[in-house]
This record gives sequence, structure tokens and C-alpha cells, in this order.
Amino acid sequence: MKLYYIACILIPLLNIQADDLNDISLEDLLNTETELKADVGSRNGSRNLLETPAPVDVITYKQIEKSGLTSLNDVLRYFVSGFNSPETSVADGTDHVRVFTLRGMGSDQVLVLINGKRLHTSALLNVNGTIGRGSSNVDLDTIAVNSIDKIEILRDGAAAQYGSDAIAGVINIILKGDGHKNNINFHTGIRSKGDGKKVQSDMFITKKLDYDGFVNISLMAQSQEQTQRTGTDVRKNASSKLTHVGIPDAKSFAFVLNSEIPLENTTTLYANGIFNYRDSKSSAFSRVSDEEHPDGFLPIINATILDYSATFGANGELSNGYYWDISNVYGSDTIKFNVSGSYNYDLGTDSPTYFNNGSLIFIQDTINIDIKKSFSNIDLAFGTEYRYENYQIKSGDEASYILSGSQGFAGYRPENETDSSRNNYALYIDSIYHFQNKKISLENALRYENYSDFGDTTNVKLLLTYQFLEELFFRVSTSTGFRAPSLAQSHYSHTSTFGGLVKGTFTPDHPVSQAFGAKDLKAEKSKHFSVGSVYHIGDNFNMMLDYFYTDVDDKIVLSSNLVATNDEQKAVLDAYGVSEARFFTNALNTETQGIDLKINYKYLLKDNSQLDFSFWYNYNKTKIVSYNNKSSTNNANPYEQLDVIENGQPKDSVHFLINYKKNKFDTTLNFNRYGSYQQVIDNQAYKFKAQLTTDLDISYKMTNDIDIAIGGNNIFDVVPNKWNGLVATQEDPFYGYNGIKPYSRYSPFGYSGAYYYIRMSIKF
Amino acid sequence: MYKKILLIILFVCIGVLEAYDKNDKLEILIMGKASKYIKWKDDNSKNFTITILNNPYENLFEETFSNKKINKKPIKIKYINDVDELNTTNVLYIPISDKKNLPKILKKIKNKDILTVSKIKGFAQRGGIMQIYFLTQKVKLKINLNKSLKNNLKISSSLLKISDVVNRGKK
Repeated sequence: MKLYYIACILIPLLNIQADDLNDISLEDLLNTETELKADVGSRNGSRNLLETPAPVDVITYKQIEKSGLTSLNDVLRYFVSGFNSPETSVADGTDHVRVFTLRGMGSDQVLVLINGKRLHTSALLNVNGTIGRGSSNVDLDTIAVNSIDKIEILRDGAAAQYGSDAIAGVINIILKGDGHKNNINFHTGIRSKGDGKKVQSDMFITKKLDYDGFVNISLMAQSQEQTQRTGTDVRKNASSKLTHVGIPDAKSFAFVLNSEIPLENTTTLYANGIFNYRDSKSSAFSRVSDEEHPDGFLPIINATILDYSATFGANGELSNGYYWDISNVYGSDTIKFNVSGSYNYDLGTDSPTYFNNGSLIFIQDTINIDIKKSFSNIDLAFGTEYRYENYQIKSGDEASYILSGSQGFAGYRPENETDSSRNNYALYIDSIYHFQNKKISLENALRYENYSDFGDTTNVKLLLTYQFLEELFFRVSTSTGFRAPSLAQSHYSHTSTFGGLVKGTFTPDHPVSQAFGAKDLKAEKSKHFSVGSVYHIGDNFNMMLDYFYTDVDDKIVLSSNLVATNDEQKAVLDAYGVSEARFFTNALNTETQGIDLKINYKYLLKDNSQLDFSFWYNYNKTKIVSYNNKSSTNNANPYEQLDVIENGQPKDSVHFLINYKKNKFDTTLNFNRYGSYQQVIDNQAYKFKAQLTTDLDISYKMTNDIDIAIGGNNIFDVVPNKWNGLVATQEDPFYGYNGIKPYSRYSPFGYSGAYYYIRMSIKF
Repeated sequence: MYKKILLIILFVCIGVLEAYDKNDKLEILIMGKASKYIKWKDDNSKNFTITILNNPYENLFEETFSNKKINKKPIKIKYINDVDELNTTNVLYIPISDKKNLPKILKKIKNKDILTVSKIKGFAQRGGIMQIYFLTQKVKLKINLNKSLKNNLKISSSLLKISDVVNRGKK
């Protein structure tokens, strides 16, 4: 009854906001905001956001500007419920390349595109106990935020359209094209504790070319100081040099090029390039004092990241109406590790303190040919893709790996070196059939793919949409998908010493892995189903509700550290001088399901000011349904390895964003609720409660072209609860409410607390 | 139960009243409204004729211009599938799908008193007169002034002021 009366009051209010475009002037029409379109999810052209057959979200450059954020990971975390990007520390390479996930799934189960073309992943393989353990993801922080026009997020399995990795979804980053003004921006901020100072300046320059062509260049330079949130080091003889627990020290420089050169005929040449150099420093756990090191020492792990990609292509239309596109995308990511302020204990006084620990390199080269044409009731697209991938490990200085190796992070050994390549080709076809005046459409996608290392796979996708009313839209999607094992998962190996034990990560074909029953890796296989609806009233109110289900078979995980359980295994481990071993294996079958509810509402007030509301709720639940090779996960600390998949990430999250524009002021308030999660230490699960954080940005337009703003992220300085009941001891000093790491590294919003900033933007 | 049903009907009906595809509608409306800022030399026809080549929008043109006038004349919509079918018209709308045929189309109507309108990229620089394009979630206009003068169209300064003008003053 109450609902009825509330609705009777609200519905007319909603309706008042829907302008009759016929009655407004040309000037006002030119100032009217147009509908958002999205390209992702179909090869048949962009579609109205409210009419996509699978759920798609778009974040525009204007929204990004108003968030005040400078990192793409943070931008996605700010806007997208179900996007998780923790800020981990004391996790070696993972401190420097942030992990991200979508809908609680794996970080390598999200495909990232730039202008619709596949972007390469980072060379880093996450091998420590973080979210994303055992996977490599795209390094989103290589992309300067000021170069982005919009971000499209397809929340649906799409491997049948885009190939490997598109299991949890696809993030398509569209770079700024024609029509943007030159601009220069300054941003500086600091954490509430007085550390974590950030200074960033960036600029965007555009040059118009004939026939609406353009050349755009974005430059970004950033200096980020570390934060320090460590607890007490309760060890005897603890070093006075404290372990860095917080975000790393980093300096980065980014360059982005985007260009389109239309020729006199229908052909357009295009190119884009992304270059990022980042120098990032974090620490390992500090080492206690001893006779040779009376103050103890703190190993600093330095990752120097060089990441770039270059795309060249052309598109056009043939005289018979066929649209064609041909492109080549070359991408490379190199991470060079150095450790400073450390020692190799076994070298005694001869040990250097600075080590070159080796490097990781990943190269990807993709060639695409796409063709499409619209017939009366059918839109047809087909094409082919060839991709070459190469993964390399280069060894470090001898002092970094011999005997106990450099403390904090042992160097890669010559026997770890690899230079492994593979190639694959794909053939695909997509079609959309429109029934009944386009009220019903059936879309299907079929993709055959052949990999030189694991063979072939064929995947299919079906999407059905029904426009029940102009403003009520139903959509159903079902598909199969896959994720090819990454070259890193197949070829990574590393040996290190920790706590006196020599532990090794071995390739699946290594004799050590074989002794434990390892097999060649095969592709993860997935099945998807989603059903949803979109309801909108005019331009000012829309609501999307979608249910999703994803089943993944043969999920690849990094096994626990395994110890010998029989003489044969012991003999092999002894032969290779290790006491524990681990390797990648197709160990698990998982099931993920959940819902997304998104509501947007725009309200124009009588004084010409405007209120925008955006509410987004995501619920996801991942369950391990069965095991393929339990022996690889049931030793050492299996509960931790398995629980992180089911409970390590929040099962629900909410974003409620309010934007209020009046005269020269523009204010954005964002409430974020992250659901509870847990982390297992020594077979005991510790729960971390749900938390609410608040972001605020207030900008003032000084002139038409100059804006200044103040703001903050997590302005009320919320931090996760510390380990509840876990006490750090001298024997186990690392985790605990009183320990070196008082917070869980799984925290979805970090643990560095409030960040306050000022920013200025000048357009010219 | 009765009230729940009423509530659903209320939602649906209100939605129906406001239903349209906004970007397409905006494009067509802007074409019509911008035409009011243009004078055709020696135009003695009773109607203001808009010809649509290979209509991409089903009946949206008719819905938009039903019972409307431009320059005090009732609007008449004509549909053609080939530029060779073109008769006297004030406006010729050329869809994106005809990009490949653009040189042929523009050659056919060279120096005729016709306002050509399109969303084709680079349309104004390629010899069209009014280009409608979508940038940063706004609709923009680009006008080839030189071409409009050649086609004997007089465009008001207030329209030029809110448009991006190319080939200015090179008759």
C-alpha cells in the first residue's frame, strides 16, 4: 500500500523531467546531452547503452574528471560495483602491478581492450598469497587517465566473440578522439597520516586533420610516496628499519598517442600507442639484527616497469557495402627487479647490498582482419585473428641467487631462464537477426581458435533481446568460453629461501612437478548464462537488473608448497636441492553467480541546477564445486589457497554516487560499501567486516576554461578492522592485530586511510 | 491487487508517452531547426521538401515533422533509393551508409539549390554543406560555407556562430 502511494508521488516527478525536444531551441538542442553508446559486446557497431543484449556500463571522461582520481584501477573501483582492486604490500612483484578482478572471479579472467583491440597482460605472475594468486593481469596503471574518452565494461562472458580471457567480462578503453580541447592538469594530495604524498601533472594536446581526422597526445608524470601502516615488530632483535606496509613509492611517466587519418576515399588510417615507464619501490619483511648486521636490515624490492603497445590499422568500405578493418597491435611489458639494502647471508662480508635479480618480459603481437555488412534484417560480421606471444625470464646476478640468495627476493637463476613462444589463430563470425520491426533480435557468435601449445577450441554465444515496450527491454545471454593457460603459467620457475627452507616453483613439465603428478596445462573452459531487463523513463531514469551464472572447469591454480610424501618425490626434491615445490595445475571447477542492480536518475531543479543519482549493487558468490587433482592443493596450507577463491573478496558491494551542479560549482559525493571477506592464516579463517567509505570532490569553474577542485577519497579515514583474535608472536610475527601486518592484504579499499587533494584543470 | 495492477499500468503508460530514440531524433530535429536559419534563393514551391536517401530511420522523419513548418511552409518528406531519383528538394539527407557513394551524389547535385545534410565523417570538407556529428555527448554542426554559397543558400550569421565553419568565404 505504501509503495503505491510513494510511486504515485514519484512517477509524475520522473515524468516532468522528460523534455519534449520538439519545443526547445536549436541552441538548447545542441546543448542537450546525447545518449551513451557502447561498442563492446558486438562487432556490428555501437549500440545505445540501454539496449545492449548483455549488461554494459560506460564511464565517461567527464565522470572520471569529477572523481578526482589519477589511477585507472581506482577509477574502476570507484564506479563499478563488483570490480575489486586491492592495494597489497610485502608481496614482491604484486606490490607494483595492481591486481583487479570482476564479479569475484580471477584477475586473468578479464579481457582488456584499447579502442576495441586486445591489450597485452603484464609480464608479472602473482605467486604470493594475494588476490589473483597464480595469475597475470593487465597493468591498468600504464594508461594515463587523461587520455581516456570513455571506459566500456561488458559484464558477460565473451570469449566466443573476443577469444581467451573474456570470462568474467571485457573492459574496453576508448581513447580520446576528435573534439576534445587541449588541457593541462595538476593534482597533488596527501594522506591523513601525513604520508603518501602524490604529485601529478598531465597534459592533452590535439591537432585536427582533414576530414575530421586528428592526432592526440597525452603525457603524464606522477610521483607517489609510500604510506606506512605497519604495526609492531615483536621479534627479538627486531630491526629499527620497519617493514613498509602500505602503497609503494613510485615514479611514473606515461605517453599516449591516438590518431585517425581519413583519406579522400572511404579509407581511414589509424594508430595508437601507449608507453609507460614506472620505477616502484616496496619492501620485503625487515630482517632481524645479528652479529654481521647489528641494526638488522630492510630489503627494498625495486621494480622497473617498461610497458608499451603500438597499434596500426586501416578501415574502409568497399563498393559493395562491405566494411573492412585490418590492424596490427604489438605490445610488450618488461619488469626488471633489483633489490637494495639487502644481503646474501651465505656470502658473509663479501655480500653486495645491491642485486640485479633478473627480469620478466612478455610480448604479444596480434593481427586482425574484420569484415562486416548490414543486410535488411541481418547484421553480419566475420574475421580472423593471428596472435604471437613470447614470455621470457632473464636471470639476475649470481650473488642474487646462489646459496640463500638476496634476502627479500631471490634472483632468477640461469635454470629459470626461458624464452618461450606460441601462436594462435582464430576464425569468427557474429550475426544479429532482427525480427518484428527490430523488437526482437537474436545475436550469435561463433569462434574457432587454435593454439600451438594446447590445441583448438570452438565457442559459441547466443543473445536474445526483446523490446517489450519502448522503455522495457529484456535480454538473455548464454555462451561457452575459455581461457588459454598463460605462457607464464606454463613456463615460470623460481627458487627462493625463506625461513631456512628452499622452496621452488617449477614448470608443469619439470621432473619435480611430474613427481607430484603434474600434467600439461589445458585451457580453462567456461559456461555462462545471464538474464536481465532494462527499464527507462525518458532520459532521466533507468534501471538495469541482471542475474549472471558462470561455470569454470579446469581452473588453473598455483598449487600449495608440496613436501615429499614418498621416496621417489624425496629423491627428486633432493636432486634439485629443494625441500618444497609448487607448480600450476588445472585443479578446480568453480561456479560463480550473482546479480547486478543499477539505477540512474537525473533531476533538473527549477533553478536550473541538476542532481544526478547513480546506485549500483553487485552480489557475487563463487563456489568450488569439485577438484580435479586434489593432491596438488591438499598439502601444506590448502584451506588458505581454496578459501581465497570463495571468500577472499567481498561478495557484495554498493556504490551510491550523487552529483550536484549549480552555477559554477560541481559537487560529487560517492558512498562505497564493500562487503565482508576473510583471510586464512594457519588454517584459521579471520573475518573482516563490511566497511563504508566516502569520496567527495568539489570543483569551481573560475573561468570557462579553468577549474579548481578540492576533494578526498575515503574522507572519513576508514580502515579495515585489524586481525580479530590473531596475535603476532616472536615465532610468528608477521600477521596479527599487533603484528607487522595488522591488516589483511585482501582489503578491497587498502589500508592507507583518507587521501585529500587539490586539483586544477586548464583548457586551451 | 487492483492497486498493484494500476501501478504497473501507470509505469508503462508514462513510459510510452515519452518514448523515442533520442540521438536519432536529435539529429533530425537539429536538421529541421537549422534549416530555419537558411534562405533558399528563388524558392517558390508550396512545400518545404526534405528528401531522404536510403532512409535509415524508418518513420522517424515523418513522426518528427508531422504538422510542422519550416520557413512557413508545410514539410513534405520524400524517400529515394538512388540519387538519380532526386527531383526538386530543399534538403537532401545522406545516410552514413552512402559514404562510398558520396562523390557521385555530390556531383549529381553540384551547384543546385539543395542543402545537403549528413553524419558522414568529414562530410563538410568532402563537399557537403551541413555535417551533424556527435562529440563528447553533444551534437555539433559543421558547415561548409563556400559550398553553401555555391548552392545559393544564405545561412544566417546566428547559425554560423553556433557551428564549426569550414571553407569560409572562398566562393
